Amino acid sequence: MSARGFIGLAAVVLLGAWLVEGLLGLPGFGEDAPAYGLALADLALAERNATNAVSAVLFDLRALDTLGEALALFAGAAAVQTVLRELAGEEESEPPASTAVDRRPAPTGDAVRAVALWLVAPTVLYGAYIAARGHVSVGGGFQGGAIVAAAVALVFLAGRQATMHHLAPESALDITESIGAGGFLVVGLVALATGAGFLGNVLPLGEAGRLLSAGTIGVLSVLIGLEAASALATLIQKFVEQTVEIRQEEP
Amino acid sequence: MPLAIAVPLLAAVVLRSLPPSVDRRVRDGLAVLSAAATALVTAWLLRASAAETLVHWVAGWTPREENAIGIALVADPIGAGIAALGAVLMTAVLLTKWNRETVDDRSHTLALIFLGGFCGFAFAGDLLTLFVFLETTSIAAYAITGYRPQELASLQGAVNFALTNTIGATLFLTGAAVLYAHAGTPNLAEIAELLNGAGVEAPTVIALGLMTAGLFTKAAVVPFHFWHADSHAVAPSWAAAFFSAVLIQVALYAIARLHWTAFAGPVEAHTDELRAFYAVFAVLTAGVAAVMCLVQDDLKRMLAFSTVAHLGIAAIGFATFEPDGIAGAGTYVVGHGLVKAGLFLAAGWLLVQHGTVSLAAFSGRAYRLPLLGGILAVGGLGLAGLPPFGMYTGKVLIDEAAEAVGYGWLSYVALAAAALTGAAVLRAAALVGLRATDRGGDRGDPDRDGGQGGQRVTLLILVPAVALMAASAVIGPLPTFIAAAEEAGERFVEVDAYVDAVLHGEAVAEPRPEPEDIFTAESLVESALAALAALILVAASLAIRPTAAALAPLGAAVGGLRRVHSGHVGDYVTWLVAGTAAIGITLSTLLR
Amino acid sequence: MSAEHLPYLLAAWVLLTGLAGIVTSRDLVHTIMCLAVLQTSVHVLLLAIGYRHDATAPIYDDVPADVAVVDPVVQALTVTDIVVGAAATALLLAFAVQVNKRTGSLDPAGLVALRG
Repeated sequence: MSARGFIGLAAVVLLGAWLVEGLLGLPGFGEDAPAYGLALADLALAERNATNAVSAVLFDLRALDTLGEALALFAGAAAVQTVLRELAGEEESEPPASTAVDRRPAPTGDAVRAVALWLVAPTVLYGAYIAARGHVSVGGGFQGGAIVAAAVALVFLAGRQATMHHLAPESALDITESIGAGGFLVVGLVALATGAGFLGNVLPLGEAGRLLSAGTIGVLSVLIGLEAASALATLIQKFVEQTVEIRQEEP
Repeated sequence: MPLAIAVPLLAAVVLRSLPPSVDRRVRDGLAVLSAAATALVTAWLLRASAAETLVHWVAGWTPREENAIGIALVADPIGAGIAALGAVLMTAVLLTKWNRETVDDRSHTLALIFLGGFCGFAFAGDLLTLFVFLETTSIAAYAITGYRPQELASLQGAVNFALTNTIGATLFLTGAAVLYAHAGTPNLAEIAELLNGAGVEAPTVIALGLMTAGLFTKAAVVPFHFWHADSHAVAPSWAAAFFSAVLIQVALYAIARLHWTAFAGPVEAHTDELRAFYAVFAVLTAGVAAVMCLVQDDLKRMLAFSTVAHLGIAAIGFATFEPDGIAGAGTYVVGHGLVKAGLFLAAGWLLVQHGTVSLAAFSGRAYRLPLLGGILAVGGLGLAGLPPFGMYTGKVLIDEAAEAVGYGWLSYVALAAAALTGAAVLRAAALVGLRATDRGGDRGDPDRDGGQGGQRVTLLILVPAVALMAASAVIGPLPTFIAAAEEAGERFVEVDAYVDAVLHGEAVAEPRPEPEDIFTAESLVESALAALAALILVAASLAIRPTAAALAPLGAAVGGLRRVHSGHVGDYVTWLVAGTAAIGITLSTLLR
Repeated sequence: MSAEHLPYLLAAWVLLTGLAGIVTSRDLVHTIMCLAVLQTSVHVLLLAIGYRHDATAPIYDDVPADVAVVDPVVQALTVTDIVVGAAATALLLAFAVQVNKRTGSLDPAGLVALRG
């Protein structure tokens, strides 16, 4: 191991010793939880009819943090689009990319293709379900969005890259992602305009446990789901593109 | 306050969704307009917060029975000032890009996300909000740094930046989690109230250590600073302009804000030890970066090291723990930011017109660039601390604060660091402006003519550059500015006032103190000496072999220092871990 | 060292493992994965902080409103950090892909353009 490795590991050990000594000073595991969090759990149900307190925290009580996070993901997707773009001297081709033996993706087995394609629709449906019911039961926008994005990956796994691009073209994903993140902002600004404060909850609160309840929490959850699905699908596509489709131009 | 965050973010989102067929000028216009709108909002916030600390509870979740429920956004003059500085610079910088961007058009989106995230960070009154917006801002910054992936240097700068800063942010979150567990709430004011009078306990030390390490990384304090020069050398000049002005400085602001809220109670009994602790890091930062600055060949890398050195000087102001020190640090940051942004824009112009920012490539050229040389020279003098630039004002206030706590020698460190960085920039000015031959130093690439800029580009870039630097010279000596800064400093260190404003809704307006007389004979002489020293250094380095080679032991030390800046991310992270361990163990010992 | 601090120590262990991996790494993808491990440690710590004995998840759709629940704020923050971490990781991996294309390898030692 290099000198840097030794020094680095020594530093890690020292840091660890200090950290462990300090952590032992925390209240024991499970003894109590921060009062703030518990207060918010009560408020979520009592004041917003949201049976999923985590979603209430994410999309109402602490919605500003979620806004930051949504834009961080937005930035990440835009960033990857920039970094993995087609550069001068490269060309993008319909898959399979090249005639070189080691660059051609292996043909997908029929079994894999069949299962993957059959799973696409249920996956999208399930993801949408999770995102839409985020304020009622377990789940939420991001979680649902990630599941929907997985459906895009399934199409790729089935060997149908061209279809993947047609089903979810990048330009369309840009728009849906913007609708998701922009929608979040617009809802927040509308709330500001109506006097409820930025990102305030301005829709009817309905009855706890039903789909139409908790006001804007459900709406924001779905919007975030749209954004997350689009962003993650964009990421998947860009990486696939790099590996399989973009190559140096023939001289 | 939410508008300052929401406006740039919304514009960023809209910009990304526009099809490529939309005319470039529409995009540019939208970007500039939203940045300008943000600048107006933050300027208004600055004005309003001067009267009383502004508090906004997001989504209407005001405290119940004096307990924080929602997220608090808090604007004090210093935080609002930094936000306004960022917004103004962003507007100026986006103007210089008018109808020019040839690469992928997502740079506007990323820049505006940076601005929105940055405002969120500056106004956050809550631990977890601080973290989230720190990450948002940072991710946008990493992306902008690496926007030329066809160049290996660009990738290296971006990777080093992204890796070290993500580790730093993770350490920060770990510390914040521990503090949240210990105090039971993430709201800064409430933590201040709860921990008031509490002694130092193990979780407090862990939280302080980790959060300091994380913010030191973000603030490019030595030894967490290695990523800074790498990323600035490759980031597009327009981006480097606002990075250098506000990115690391806002992290210093966060450190100070935490010191006078969440950690105020526990550390009260240990002020002297902590003062020494922070002073050590400030001196290290100012010293190491100033030396590294002097030996650089790449103009942008040189400016980057100079920024770190000046952050060290601002950190000296913070380390005094005096209101004047804070006021000085804030003034210094504003003054420096304006000048440094102007310098980076000038460097960008150089790159566009002549294809290189390598100084060696300029020595012995057949023609001269007097205008650029003049701009660099003025900037260099400003960096050295000459009045009327804002850095002079800041330095005077910092010196007073240092003197007041018995750390008078710190002002000489600051003086030396400023002189060194000023010298470096002046040398660059001489090389491009006067056709001086640099005898010694590395030979860069032979010149390659890459300039297609022409007259319009020159105006577009250089006019804002000069305007920004002029702004620093105009604002610096303004009595209103000085008085406002001093009052802001006084308010900043008042923990109880902060808690009252945030939790109890009692914001108190204070009378404005008399502005300091900053033009005392003593300070003028000192700054003249600094400028003189800088000029002598420059003349010496141009006329004889550079000191680095001539004085062997010094040369070896400098060479060693340069080798430490290896460019290898593993080395950087090793320093980061070692630094964190050192901070942790030192704090545990000091705060026992 | 009692069992009641074990989850916190686990978080510390994961943190240190991640850091150790990064400082000794000779491969960018390995480094980035260690970074992901590092970020996971914070999630463990957060969730451990929010946990209470004999309390259930803060989802009320099938339990009465007055049952003891764990802290939802740390759970929300964990979701947030997972997303933010994913964005950063994706960006870093994109850089790594490009590094591989330029230098033919993923060794950070191959990035030599900036130093001194």
